[in-house]
Amino acid sequence: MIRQAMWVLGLVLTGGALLAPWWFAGQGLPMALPLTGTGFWDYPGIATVVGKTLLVGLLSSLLALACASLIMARDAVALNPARNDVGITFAAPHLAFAIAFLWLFTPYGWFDRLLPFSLPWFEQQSLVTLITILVIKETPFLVVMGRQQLGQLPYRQWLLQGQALGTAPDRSWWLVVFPAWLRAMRLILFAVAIYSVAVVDLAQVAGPLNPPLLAPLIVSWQLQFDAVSQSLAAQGTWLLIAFGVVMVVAFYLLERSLTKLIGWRIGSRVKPAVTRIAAAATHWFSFTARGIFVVVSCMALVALVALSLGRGWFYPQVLPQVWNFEHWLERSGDALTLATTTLGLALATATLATLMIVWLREWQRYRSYELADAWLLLALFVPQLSLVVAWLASDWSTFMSSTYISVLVAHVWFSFAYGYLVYAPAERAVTQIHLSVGRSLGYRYWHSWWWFKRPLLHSALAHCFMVTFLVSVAQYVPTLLLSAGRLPTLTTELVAVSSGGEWQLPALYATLLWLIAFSALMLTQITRKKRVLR
Amino acid sequence: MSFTLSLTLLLKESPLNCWLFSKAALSRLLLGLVLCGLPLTVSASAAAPESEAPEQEVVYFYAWGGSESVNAYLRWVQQQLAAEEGIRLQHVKVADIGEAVALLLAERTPAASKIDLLWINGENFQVLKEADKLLTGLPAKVPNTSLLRDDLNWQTDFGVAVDGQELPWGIAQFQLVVRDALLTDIGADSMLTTKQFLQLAKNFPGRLSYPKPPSFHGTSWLKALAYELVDQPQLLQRDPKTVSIEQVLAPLWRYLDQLHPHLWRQGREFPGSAAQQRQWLNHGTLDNAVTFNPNEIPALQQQLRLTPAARAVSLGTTALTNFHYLAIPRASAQHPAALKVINFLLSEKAQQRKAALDGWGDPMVIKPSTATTDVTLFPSHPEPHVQWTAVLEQAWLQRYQR
Repeated sequence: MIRQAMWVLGLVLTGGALLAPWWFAGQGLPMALPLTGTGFWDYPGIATVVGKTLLVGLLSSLLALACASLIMARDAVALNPARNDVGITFAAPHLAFAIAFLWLFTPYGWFDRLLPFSLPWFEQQSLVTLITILVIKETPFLVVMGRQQLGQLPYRQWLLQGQALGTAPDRSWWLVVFPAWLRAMRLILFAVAIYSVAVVDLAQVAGPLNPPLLAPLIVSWQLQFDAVSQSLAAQGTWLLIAFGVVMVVAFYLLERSLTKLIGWRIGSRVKPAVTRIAAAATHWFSFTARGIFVVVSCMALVALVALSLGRGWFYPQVLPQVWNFEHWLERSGDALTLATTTLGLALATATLATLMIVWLREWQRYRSYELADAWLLLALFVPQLSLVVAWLASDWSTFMSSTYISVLVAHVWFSFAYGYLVYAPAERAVTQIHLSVGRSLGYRYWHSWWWFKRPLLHSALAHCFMVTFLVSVAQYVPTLLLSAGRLPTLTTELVAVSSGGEWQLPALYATLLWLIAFSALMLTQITRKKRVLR
Repeated sequence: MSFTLSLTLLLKESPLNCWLFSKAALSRLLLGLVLCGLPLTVSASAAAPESEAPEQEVVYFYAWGGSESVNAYLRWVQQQLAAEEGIRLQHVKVADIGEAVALLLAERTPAASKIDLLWINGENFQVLKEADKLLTGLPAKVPNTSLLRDDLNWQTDFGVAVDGQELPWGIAQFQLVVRDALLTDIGADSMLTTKQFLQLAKNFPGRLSYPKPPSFHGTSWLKALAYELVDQPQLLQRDPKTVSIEQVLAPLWRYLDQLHPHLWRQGREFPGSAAQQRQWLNHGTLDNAVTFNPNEIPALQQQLRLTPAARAVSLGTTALTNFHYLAIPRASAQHPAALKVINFLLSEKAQQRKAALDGWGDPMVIKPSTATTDVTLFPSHPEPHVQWTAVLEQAWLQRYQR
């Protein structure tokens, strides 16, 4: 009876926390579809907007998937796969990384000043630059998450079985492990694809502006308050949601097609020389790609630290006029306060979101009922500013009288989807037999979960906690608008101070954010390593 | 993990082992999180207004946070207000003041507004005025209004009557910032004609640009150009519905058609904002930028924030001039304190400090009682009628955004 009551209580709390924001959004989200005759399709350059947005979404996600797959291929067949190689790139805050990348690699940038030849590939505000930055940022995310998902698969046995049947490990990876890994990565790939099509900050800083991509265009419409702009913003929101669906369908079809294509290759004979060349090429690519990620990220981090210390750094100078170390000391008090708020909010968010995710998975197991992932990941589809503005226009503030609770609920809600897509596939790969054994030994449900099932999900839990933590750290719009400025974090301050023409303070905040994210990743890796060593 | 492996793991991990493990790792982690997270959470919550002591007067001032000079000035104001008035001024930094306008428009009455004071002008003011979101009668409630200069036409903000709903804080005058070498090349000193600007673009292809409309500075560039180029500039003071728009603006589009092929990326791409263009001037990507603060250039150069190899010049003999203002939301619960803050910001002490070249360098809107370092402003022409903003932006997008 008590157990039933606990499940009901959990259902009410978790269900309420997940569904209430949708109810509030329903109150405030304008229903204006971008149909013909509404004027939306007459907006100047809208065809270019649509084409470039889809191109960036598809190309950057596909390239990131290809890079991550090749790196994973090397990992899977290596005796001692690398673990922390892409950590520094993974931890880089998107906006900070883009600022540093542009400062280093664009024409008239630091390398252009240093080298006798120019680097013509990365123009300011160009598709190539944006896609490159997205690929560099998304690939490590896929690799870190991919390694965690791969760890849930018995891939070593599969490779051994393949080897016993005369198939080289590199070929076995592509024929046997890769399809299963791709299936396990489905939700994560959906998230990356949706992010690529809906990205705002990177697109504003590095992408084309005439016309911009759809997501930054919607934000600019939302910040103009005439009726025409507001209508365009409402219609654009629904178009962006449709683009999210398009990306999901595209990647689902890609996964099915690749699996089918690979299935046809099983049993076919390939010359050993071809396998060897392919393996060597994979190894070379994996090594080079990781090298590029690490080198570019380290350079970007050094550039940010230098920018935060340097004053009077104008073209064509290679070094600044003055190194100003006092700036760090002067602003350390503010930075520490901001970091404290950021960490407190992120830790509370990660704890709550992880608990909710674990509870929801167990509830589905307990009820032998699988909720469709789409319902749980819907938050990834809707542009964030649209949702938050809809909440503000609803009864949200009536129910969330406390600023802190209001922001925390929003952070948990936005983090939930990312945490779920990390944890759920790994949890699905673990059977309930262990938990049942525990219960047969007399332990209660959650005791059994803790003693018998949790150890098997240690890595997934750690990654889920880390991802929800990092998502909370990165929140700008919900933190600013729901707290109405009462809860400034490193991210809200970074975005605000980055809107000017100066680098010193933004670079300081960006460096701190990078260090926080890198520390979170390292803690996750250390926890995981300890678990493996045991 | 396969069942066999899992079972092996399961057998290895007796409940005792699990207990030890959990104590050693996960429990420690969770405990750490609770121990670390709770105080952090509480400290963060302490920043929330709910926990403010009732006698404390806290004013949440929403203002653009992109300028370190402005932020430093506001830190000085915070110290002064705390010492003199016992008011805690909280600068809420935003990337775009439109975010605060969105928040204010979404707030429902009769709940108290989260915003106590705003730094706004132009379209944002118009929107809030139309929505009846602002406190009225400010001149009568702020004693230092009497210090405001008589020669400034601050009673209209981008063609919209202020009607006591905002008070001016500073003067904005549109100017170009151009690298010295280019000005020397064309033989210009403190002023560039539109013809000279076109010639510069031809002499230095790919080195000039302007912020993309409809950004604030991009649209201002169009207005400034229009004043210089149209045959009857006085028509820009009238509602565009009363004139032939195409005919009035034809010289402007002819000029831009000539100019664009010589701009950065052949005029097919533009900086997103004035701040970005200033970064690119420092970075070396461009040789020009735009500003709305005539004092800003020497101030920024003194602070090593702008390349010393550039200076401000006027576009034509007169400069597009407007004001930036302070306003109080009608629904704020801190009207008396917010009014005291405005009064302080309009005091001679605060205005002098604001105009200092080693700080913000924003021109004063009050009559100083003593000699000051405030620079002489260029002869000015006012903002066009407010409806021209949308007309110019839409026409530009139709022509050049493809």
